Amino acid sequence: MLDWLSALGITGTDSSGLSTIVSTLMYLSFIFFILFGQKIQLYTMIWNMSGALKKLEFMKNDAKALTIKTLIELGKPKEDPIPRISGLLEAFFITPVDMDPAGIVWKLDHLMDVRDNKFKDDVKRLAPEADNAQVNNLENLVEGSLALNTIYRIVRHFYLLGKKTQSFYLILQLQMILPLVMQEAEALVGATKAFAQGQPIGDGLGPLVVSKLMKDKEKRKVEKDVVVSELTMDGRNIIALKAEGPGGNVGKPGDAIKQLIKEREGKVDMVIMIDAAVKFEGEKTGGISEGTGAAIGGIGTERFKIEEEASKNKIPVYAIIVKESLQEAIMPMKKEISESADNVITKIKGLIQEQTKEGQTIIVAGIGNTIGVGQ
Amino acid sequence: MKQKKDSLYFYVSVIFSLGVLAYSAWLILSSVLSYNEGQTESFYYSLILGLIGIALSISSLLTMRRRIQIIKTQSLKTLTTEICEKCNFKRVREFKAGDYINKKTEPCPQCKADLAISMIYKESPKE
Repeated sequence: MLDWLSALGITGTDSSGLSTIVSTLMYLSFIFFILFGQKIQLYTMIWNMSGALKKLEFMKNDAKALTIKTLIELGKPKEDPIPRISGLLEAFFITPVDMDPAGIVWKLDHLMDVRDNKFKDDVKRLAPEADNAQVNNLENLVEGSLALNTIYRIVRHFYLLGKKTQSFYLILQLQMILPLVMQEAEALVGATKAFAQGQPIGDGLGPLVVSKLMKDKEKRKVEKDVVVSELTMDGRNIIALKAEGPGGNVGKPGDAIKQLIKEREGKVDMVIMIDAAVKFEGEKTGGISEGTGAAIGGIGTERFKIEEEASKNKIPVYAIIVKESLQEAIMPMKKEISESADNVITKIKGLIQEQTKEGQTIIVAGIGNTIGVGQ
Repeated sequence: MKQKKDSLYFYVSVIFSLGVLAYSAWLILSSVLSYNEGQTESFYYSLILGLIGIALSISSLLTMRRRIQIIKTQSLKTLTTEICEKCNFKRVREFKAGDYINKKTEPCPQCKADLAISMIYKESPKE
């Protein structure tokens, strides 16, 4: 190295030659980055994305393998399930046209029912030996794999499109949301493992609270996959409802609440909804908040039904939520969330003592996926 | 066997990164000495190499730290708590497929009443 520098006339004693080279290199690199800076950034982003895409591909293959293994173990299919599962993982849903929004809720509700029934039938056919709870868990498992497969396909689409068109802004948009997408995908991998084993997930907090209320009480089934128990608490009549477990199921609490209010000819004095809700970063998992309104997620059809029936009969709707992140909601239930169930019951007692009188009727609805939670 | 191989690879990587870090620090120190002695080219050479080495080794150590955290989270167990409502006997065990909350499991070892599952949860990572 030193010989080479000496040959160029840059000796150890004279440093002016070396500083000329350094300053020339700096000028050249400055010009180089002006001309090719964005291209270099583009290739760096494409390189990062290709790593993320490989990770996503591994995750979706892992989830698919777990789905097939669980289906074979629980359902004992007579023929090879792989082609049908591959078909299910590409399933899609077309939402109704919203140019004329009047009546769209019922159209959406109907289309969702068709989709859910078709999905359940397909899973049942794939797993003829599985019982009802296992079919529900398998359905959730296939849904988890489908979500992972969809994420992989979308990310791959934009990655290849960006690479093909060399569009900096196309790649930049994907790069910006990639950390959130990866978080979601990692949570879905956790969810598929929980569904395969029938473990409760963070979203099951609502059904967990209600299962504690309805323990050892008589139960009856109402609208689609919902169970109801009647009990008394501090002299008030409580109608507790949750989706039927322990299979993975959210039921149709909107229809159930509507039916219960109709059965009592509108004589219900309060509706309390218990659900897991997304926390802000920095908030503590398992923290409880009280509010008003129908606490229920999903596409909105169930919330619409509850709001409509409650406003028709002038019934106040209260909500108690337990805070958790979007990832915690679909991953196996954390201890802090599980332990918050007793505190929620204390809150319910406080709420009914403050807002109702003895002898009044209150509906307590536990909203969420009841996987791993019996009644 | 695979786990043993993985942990060996991990320890070798950590030792290698620490070695690079130590050598880079020594290079920066020697560059300062060269500057004091007026050896400009040796100063630039050692300083640039030292800085690159420090950046690479720190980046490698941080990546490994992140990996350890992920592995720790993945290895957390799901636990099942069984409770006897009659005598308050409590037992915590690892989750088994088929467990669900409110399931009656087996007779209580103390009073022979039914044990029921009261909680199923994932362990929290140790701080």
